[in-house]
Amino acid sequence: MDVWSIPQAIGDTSSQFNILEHVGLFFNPVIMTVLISVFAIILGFGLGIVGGLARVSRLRLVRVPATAYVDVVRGTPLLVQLFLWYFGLTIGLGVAMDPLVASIIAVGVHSGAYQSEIVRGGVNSIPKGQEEAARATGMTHLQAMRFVILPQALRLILPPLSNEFVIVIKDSSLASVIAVVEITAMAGQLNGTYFQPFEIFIFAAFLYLCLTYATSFMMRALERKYHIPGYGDRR
Amino acid sequence: MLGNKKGSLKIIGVILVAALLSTCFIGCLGAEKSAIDKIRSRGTLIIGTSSGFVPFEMFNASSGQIEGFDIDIGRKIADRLHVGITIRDLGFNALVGSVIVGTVDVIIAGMTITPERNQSISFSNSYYGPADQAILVKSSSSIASVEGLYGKKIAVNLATTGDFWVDAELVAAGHVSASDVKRFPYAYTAIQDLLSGGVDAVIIDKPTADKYVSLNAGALKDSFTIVTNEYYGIAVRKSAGDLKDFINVVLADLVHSGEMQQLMDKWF
Repeated sequence: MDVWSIPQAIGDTSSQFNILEHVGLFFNPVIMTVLISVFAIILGFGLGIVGGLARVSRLRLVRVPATAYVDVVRGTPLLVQLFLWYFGLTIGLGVAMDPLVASIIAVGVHSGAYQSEIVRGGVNSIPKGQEEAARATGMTHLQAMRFVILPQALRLILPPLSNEFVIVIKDSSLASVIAVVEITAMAGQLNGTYFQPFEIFIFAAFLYLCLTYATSFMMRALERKYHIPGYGDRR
Repeated sequence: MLGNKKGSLKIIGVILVAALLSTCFIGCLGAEKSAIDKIRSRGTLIIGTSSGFVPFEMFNASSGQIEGFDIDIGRKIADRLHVGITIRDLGFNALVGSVIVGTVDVIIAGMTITPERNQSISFSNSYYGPADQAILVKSSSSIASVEGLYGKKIAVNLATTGDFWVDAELVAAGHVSASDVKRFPYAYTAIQDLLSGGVDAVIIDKPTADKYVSLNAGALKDSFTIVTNEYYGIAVRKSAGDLKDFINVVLADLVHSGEMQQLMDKWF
């Protein structure tokens, strides 16, 4: 058993705890955080495109359920939704749900609601003349969306989308409450052994910062690559 | 594909029906199997526990695993079922709900057998006891009795017998205000709050309190014992009678073979 050297007071540096000795413990948790984030972003993006287009549809049958999805999911806490998915799927399917899968579904569906609104904003900002011209060449509404409107809209929404992806990475920390051993869970467990909250939680925050910064950096590179000269520029 | 409305509607219809049917199928499969059959076909026993309750379950930073007396007992049960173990480390308050719903198979978390808990879950025979509650304080503290807790800030592990004791004996009796009691899902958060000075005392099971004292180089002391005579059991959901009987057989076996004593010597 470890003999833990517990600080007698906050700021006591006589205890020999060094977070850098325990960096290896965070290797698998970082992979967990990345897995949740990547798959939740992908799921959210798919739901975002479908939901966003549904929100601007002329058909009430399509528009009303999409609006309900967006309003309900954005209007309730992600933590509550996480419990609903995790326990609900276990009860519904009759098998113990893998917490990782439940986390991906919960965070992905949650993000999908926000990404729907982002896509809707992007689509609405494309001038109506674009769709009119597309329809005039014989395209159906969905073909106009696919070949003319969405390619422009997606370029416009890269900045708010990047913001949403960063939020997803941070939201993944909630998976810790359903026993996924990701970054926050590992920090909590490690602190429960050594009781050095500053070093441990600052290190955890640093790990998240690396992930979010890398994501923002990649998104900015995407923005530069797909930029339409003179379109949406302020500079 | 986008131009042919009829074709895409047909595809969507088929997918929906297939999804619905497979969900029903999986659901039915799940409902018919006994608890032990489900565990065997899954190949792993899912153990629900709450780390920080030393030495029953705690995080070992060297191995990166949750280890402890409870975990070893869980392994022995799983070995006899010829499956591995998966540990779900949850807040203590989340354990009962989890075993009822089925996200964990068993709770091995130093959980005291109480009549209230017996209404919603089933316990195995006791595997540890008797245990009391302790008042855990910093070494410099002057609190040495129940009366010493009056008007103080107290931390407990949420939904444990320590939590219930504080509620019944201190808050309900008006000796401590409800806002001065902090209930944490994990035991180690209560200890952290004590060390940080956020609370004056932690009420926690005596075996755990004593272990924290011995592991923490003079920072803490167990200043008083509240006699509650608790016995810990392994919990399963009410419908898992076969699993409960199996666990009882294993526990009796461990005592007869001397393995239980070996585990006690190892961890205490």
